[in-house]
Amino acid sequence: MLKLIIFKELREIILSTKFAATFGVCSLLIIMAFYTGIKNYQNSVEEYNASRAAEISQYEKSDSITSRRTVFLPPEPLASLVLGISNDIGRSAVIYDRSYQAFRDSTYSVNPVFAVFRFMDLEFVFLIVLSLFAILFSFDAINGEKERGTLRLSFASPVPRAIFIFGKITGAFAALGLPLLVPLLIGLLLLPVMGVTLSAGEWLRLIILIVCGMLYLGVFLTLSVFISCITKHSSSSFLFMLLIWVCSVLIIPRASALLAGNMIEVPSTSKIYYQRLQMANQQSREYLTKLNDIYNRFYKELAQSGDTSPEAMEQTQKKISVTLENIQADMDKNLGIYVSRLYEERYNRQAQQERLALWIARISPSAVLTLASTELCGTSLGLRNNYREKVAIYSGFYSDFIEKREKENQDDMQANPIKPSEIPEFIFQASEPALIMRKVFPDIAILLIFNLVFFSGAFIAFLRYDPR
Amino acid sequence: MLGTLIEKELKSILLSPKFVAVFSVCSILIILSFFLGIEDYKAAMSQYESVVSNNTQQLKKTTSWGGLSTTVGRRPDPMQIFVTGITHDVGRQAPIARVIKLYNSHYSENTIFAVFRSMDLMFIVQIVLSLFAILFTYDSICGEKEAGTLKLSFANQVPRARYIAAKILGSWIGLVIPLLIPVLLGVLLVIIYDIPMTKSHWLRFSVLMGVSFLYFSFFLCLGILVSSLTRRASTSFLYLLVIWVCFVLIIPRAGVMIAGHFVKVPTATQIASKYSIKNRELVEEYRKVTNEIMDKETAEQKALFSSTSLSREEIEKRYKELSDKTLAGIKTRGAKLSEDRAAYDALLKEDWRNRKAVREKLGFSLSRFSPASAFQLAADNLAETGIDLKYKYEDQIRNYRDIFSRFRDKKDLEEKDDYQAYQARLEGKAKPIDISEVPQFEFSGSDIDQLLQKTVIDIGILSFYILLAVAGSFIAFLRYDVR
Repeated sequence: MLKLIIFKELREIILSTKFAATFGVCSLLIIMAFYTGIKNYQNSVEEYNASRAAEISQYEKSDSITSRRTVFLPPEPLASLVLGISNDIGRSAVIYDRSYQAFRDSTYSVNPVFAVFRFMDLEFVFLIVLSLFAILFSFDAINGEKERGTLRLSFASPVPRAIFIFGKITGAFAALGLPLLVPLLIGLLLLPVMGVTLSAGEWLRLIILIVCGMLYLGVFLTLSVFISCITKHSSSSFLFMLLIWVCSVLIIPRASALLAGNMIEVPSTSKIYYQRLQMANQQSREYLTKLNDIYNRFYKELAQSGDTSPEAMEQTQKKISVTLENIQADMDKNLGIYVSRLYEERYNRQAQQERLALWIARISPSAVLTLASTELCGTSLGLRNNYREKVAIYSGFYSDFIEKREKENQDDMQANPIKPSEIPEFIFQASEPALIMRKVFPDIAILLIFNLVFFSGAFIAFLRYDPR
Repeated sequence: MLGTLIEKELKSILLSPKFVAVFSVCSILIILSFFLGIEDYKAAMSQYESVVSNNTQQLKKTTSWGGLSTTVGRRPDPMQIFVTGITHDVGRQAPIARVIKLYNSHYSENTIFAVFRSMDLMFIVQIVLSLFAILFTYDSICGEKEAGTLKLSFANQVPRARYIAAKILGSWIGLVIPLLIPVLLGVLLVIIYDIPMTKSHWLRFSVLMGVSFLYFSFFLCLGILVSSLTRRASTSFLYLLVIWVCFVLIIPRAGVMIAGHFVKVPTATQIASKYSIKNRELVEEYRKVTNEIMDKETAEQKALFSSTSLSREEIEKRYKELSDKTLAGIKTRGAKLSEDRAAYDALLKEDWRNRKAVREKLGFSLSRFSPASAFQLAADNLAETGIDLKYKYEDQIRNYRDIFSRFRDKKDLEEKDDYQAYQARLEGKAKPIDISEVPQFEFSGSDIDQLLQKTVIDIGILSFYILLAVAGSFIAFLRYDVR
């Protein structure tokens, strides 16, 4: 019985002209997303190699040791399929004196033409097209049959309701999900054909991404069937589904970030810089007051001692300069502590704001898919932090290397230029696969829960449904 | 007759529960977009003020004109409340230096907003209202046919042209006029929050609203057209949804991406690398030529000193002439080297600018096949938050850099001539400079005339599409089988 219902549903969907049209569009978009992603990756690799070569060549030309160097974020094949924030963060960072300058040259700031309409990556196709695809084929799954009178006809035979609804959902999922695997497999095949080599971990992540896409399709499919069970007319269920789609795909994710931004204020870097300047000014004023006090105190002591010899005078001057140096060192240290505290506070608030925004956004299955796919492809918010940490660690390595070379040159009493092969390489590695899986797990679980909840909703609603 | 038909259409739209639901959602979203835009503008203003005050403090500390340096910031424009465009992608600050580099864009500093992007008025109109328009018109003809009311209507003597005109007008009035309410409430919010909108801003906002209604009208007419071409409402909606996805989501992106594939623009690194290779060649040539000059001089010197027929004074005189000639030759070569370098640099930059312009022109032209792109480009243009924002900002900073450098150099020279100030500096008693004289940077937008001129093409495209949809609806309906 169940098989029969599944086959009926499968046939009904697959043999419709609607399916041929929408499936054609979906397939084309999926293959296009893979193709453009691969092309973009190849261009990025070319650009990255050229940038590195140009940066390294400065050592060949230079006779002196430079403490500044630029490092670049290497392109990742998966990051070209799901862009996430990779085009929004600066790709180059200038390193100097154990520190680094703000990340610059983000793709969108260098090429604003791409920022106007953005790119069309695999996540975008999944997000928009798969959900619409699911809605289009299941918004009238139950009430449509009721309107046409076929539902009453079906229940003229002894068909258990539970089996009917289960067959409907399973059949629709198989009819939509399985054909979609074809363009997805073609896309996967394009990767090795076009010369992109992926590691085993990357293949696994890509497969999990497709599983997430299927789960996302399932969410909209079960939700559509559920809405179709609780509404009388197919036009009403379509209206509801469209409103839900707009809210889920377009409104909730955006509103969540804006809402979190309004709830948790994060001080801007300019504001922190302003506070730093204020503190430095205050310290300068305090320093001047202390300077007067110290001069007065030491010269008073000198006058009281009655010793007017040049040695005593020199001794007092020395004491004054040592005291002032100590005060200055204390002030610098305090300023450093103050500024790092301000940055730490900003970092904490930003993390808090991001956490809040992402949790609000998770009300929407679309946001969940975005978060899962960007995490799997290494283009989530974690990319920025990871890159920042790696650059900070590398700046320490590089400074050690420069200091060592400078010392060697001083000992040798001659300037030996740095050979490009000697420079420690900046290695950027994406997070460990186990860590990625741990981070993606809650989102996969949420997608599963959405599926279960809507499936149960459809099940319960259909058991009480009036097929007349 | 027309009045009655319009009234019927109006009643059927306004009294439907669908209208109440969709209209409420749209109103909330429009007002929310105004509110969030205002909050965003205020945050951007506070960030800008911090940049200005940091800069002032830095300048106040400077004690010598020669060491004067500054950083400029971009004052946020109130129009970004309605159309964010690429405002958040473009760096907001730039230190005044030989090479102008913008940094600290809103999205790079607050990456969480880059994950899901902003929700401005333009986004609501482009995505939500276009869907809203489709939702109310996809069954305007075929739906009536399915319900049997079309046959009933034509049982009376109703001219078809008048019927379809009433359909279009009725839907337009029924959907556009109510949407003015949340827009007006949004405007009230802008006034209450005391946003510094000038006359020009209001005028641009009014034109933006006009363009938005044109865009909305297009989808409305498109809905009626597709509805007149199909027999069943479900088929009509399917077609409309596919067209909507293509127009709003696919074509704009695909246009720019295709242009990106066809027109290759060299990256900054590739340009730097090309320049570096050419520079090496030029320097090599310079060295070769100067070595030749010097070798020649050495040979001539040798000949001069080995000459026995010349007096000592004559030798000294000729030696000086020879040295001057060599120096002049080297200097001329040096000047040529600088000239050649600058010319090659200019050539590379011009090529880069031209290629970039070609790519942008091609990308935008291709994407203009979609009315959604035409609308977005018009909106970005009116709000000045489009692609020109970056180029204009960079150009204005470059102009300011020249003014600033000239001012600093002039002051530096004056300071060097001032012996007292020089002495004070040596003794470490120099006073901070008077920063009130320092030229200020203020980012200025284009004239309203210029903006309108640029927008005309997109308004023209939208109007053309509307005409096409209206004409199509008329023709299709005149041939429509009402049975």
